[in-house]
Parts: sequence; structure tokens; C-alpha cells
Amino acid sequence: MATITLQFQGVIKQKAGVESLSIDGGTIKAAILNAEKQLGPAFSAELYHDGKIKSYYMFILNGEIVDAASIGRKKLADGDILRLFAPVGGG
Amino acid sequence: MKIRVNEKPARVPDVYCAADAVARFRPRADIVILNALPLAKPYSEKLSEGDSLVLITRGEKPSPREFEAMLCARHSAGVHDRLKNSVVGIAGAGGIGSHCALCLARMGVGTLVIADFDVVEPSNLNRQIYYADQLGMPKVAALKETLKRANPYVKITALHKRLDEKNTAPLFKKVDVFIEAFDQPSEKTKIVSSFVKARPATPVIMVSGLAGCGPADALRTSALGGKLYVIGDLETGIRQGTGLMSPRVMVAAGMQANLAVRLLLGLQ
Repeated sequence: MATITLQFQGVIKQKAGVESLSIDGGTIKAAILNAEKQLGPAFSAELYHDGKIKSYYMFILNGEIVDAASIGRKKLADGDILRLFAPVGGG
Repeated sequence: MKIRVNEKPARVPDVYCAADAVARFRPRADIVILNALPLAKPYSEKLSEGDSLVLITRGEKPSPREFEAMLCARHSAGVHDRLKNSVVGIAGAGGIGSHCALCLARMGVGTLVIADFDVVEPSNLNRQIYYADQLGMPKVAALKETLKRANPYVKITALHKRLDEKNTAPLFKKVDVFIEAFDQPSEKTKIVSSFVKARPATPVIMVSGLAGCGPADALRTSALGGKLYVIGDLETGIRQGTGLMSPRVMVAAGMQANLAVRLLLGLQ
């Protein structure tokens, strides 16, 4: 189990109601599940569609993008910074 | 004394002013640039040994050297040389991609690699750099035409194809900066993630949150980590009643182009 900083950018920051929080979790997925317990249903509703994390969410761990498919395996270490961001449409 | 006129060596009398050079070398010149600074009539500035004078006639396509001299005059030689040797990739040639490409071509970026699978449609004309007489053309072909009118010497690789997770990094393997200018959130994430995975050392500039006509100064540059940046307010996506409109799209595209230039010049 590691204690990391989870940062939010964009729409998910609105739903989280905070810019960041300190959270425990052995993997990225575990840290996100713990954050859901703290942040409530609006956060979860933004993050999920049909029970899965929306495909366009980006997980950026210490500056590196982590494949969404591997967030259940990606181990975290104390002091890691995980950023959660999803682009919105328009270009 | 020896000077250079339109980048060619020339010998002139020791007491000589710019107007004398205009009369001798290009009497119809109406743009006169001395050592990278544009002059105003009557061009009475005295010339010195080693001066560089550029004489251009409006309406005539300038030679590559004359064009470079004009860009140097505006941007300084150091900036111009750096940009001329740079390659920028743009994924998507819609509102963002087309405006961004035009900014970069005008700045004198040497090579642009632009990919888009779409054709110009009437609904694009409210915000994209296309014209009614280009309807139906592949966007990359129409854009190339327009960019060449602004900068005849920019090299353009126009790719009329759909980008995906497999072909993006190979198609953009030579770029110094990669610009994401897609429409759909899932495409943005897929394309950027695949590119960053293959080319982690190359800066990437995404765009997110530029719809509607909210305050332009809500658009900002955010660092997402590593060499990944995003331009926009990060929240205002396309939805019913909040479409994409020209002013905010142009601001966001300009910010992307500006950040690309700053990265290429080592200022960011």
C-alpha cells in the first residue's frame, strides 16, 4: 500500500470538488476506488460509463501516460503523483 | 564598398543611400528592408560596408531568398533559422489544425506534416480556414493550397488518411513537435497516448475546452506532465447550444502555434 497524490484536471476536477487529494492504494485502480469512496457519486458518475472507466480518461503517473488497460497492475509507490484528465470534444 | 542586395554581393559608391540602391537595383521596389529592418520612404538611410538590403515589389512572388529576408526582418535571423529547420506535425485539419498550420507557415516553420481523412463541408466554413470554392476537396489538399499562398516555400506533407493508434507515430516520426487537433475525446486520447508511448521525448500539444463563446482568457496552457501540454479551458466541450465558433477556435489554435514556436526556440 502506497500513499500518493491524486490530481484532477478538467471536468473531473469539477466533479471531485478538489484539485487533489492524498490517497492510499497499491495500484492505480485501487487508488481510484479509494478516491471514489471519499469523493462521492458525482465523481464516479463522471468517471464511468456502463460500469467501465470511460475510454478517453488519461492516467498520467509521474509525468508518464499509463495504458488504461494496465491500471489494475500498475504498482504505486509512496510519493507518486497520479493525474487524472479527460479531454472534451472540439478541435 | 561592398553590400548585399537581395542576398547577392554588390559594389556601390562609399556614399550611397537606400534610395540610390532602389533606383539602381529594383526601381519598382515598394518594400525595402535594410539589415532586417523595414524602411519607409524616401529611403534616405545611408548605407555602410557589409549592409544587407532586400528590395521587393508587391504583387510579385518573392524568391526563396527574398522571402527568407522578409521573415528574418520580422522575426530576426536567429528565430528564422531555428524555425526553418523545424518540423511540426498536426493531427487533424479542422478548425484548430487549419488555423494552427497557417500560423506556423506564416512563422516560417520549414516543414509541416498534416493528416486528416475528411473533406471540406459547408458546416466547416464558420471556423476553419477553407473557402466556398474548396467544398468537397480533401481538407489537407485545400489547406496545402492556402498555406502555399501565405508561404510558397513551406514544405508540406499532406496525408489524406485516418489516423489510428498504429499509424500515428510512424507517420509523424520526424516531427519536433506534435499537435493534436482532433474533435472526439476518445480519438484525442488514443492518438496522443500512442504517440507519446512511441516518442516520449517529443513535445505534444493537445487541445481541450474551446467550444462556445465564453471568455477567451479562460483558455490557458496546462502542463499534464512530461512533455505533454494541453490548451483550452479543459471543460467546455461541444454540446447542444455550445458549438465551435471561430473566435475561440482561433485563439486556441494561436495558443497551440505559439507554444509550438516557444518549444522549438527552447523558450518553454
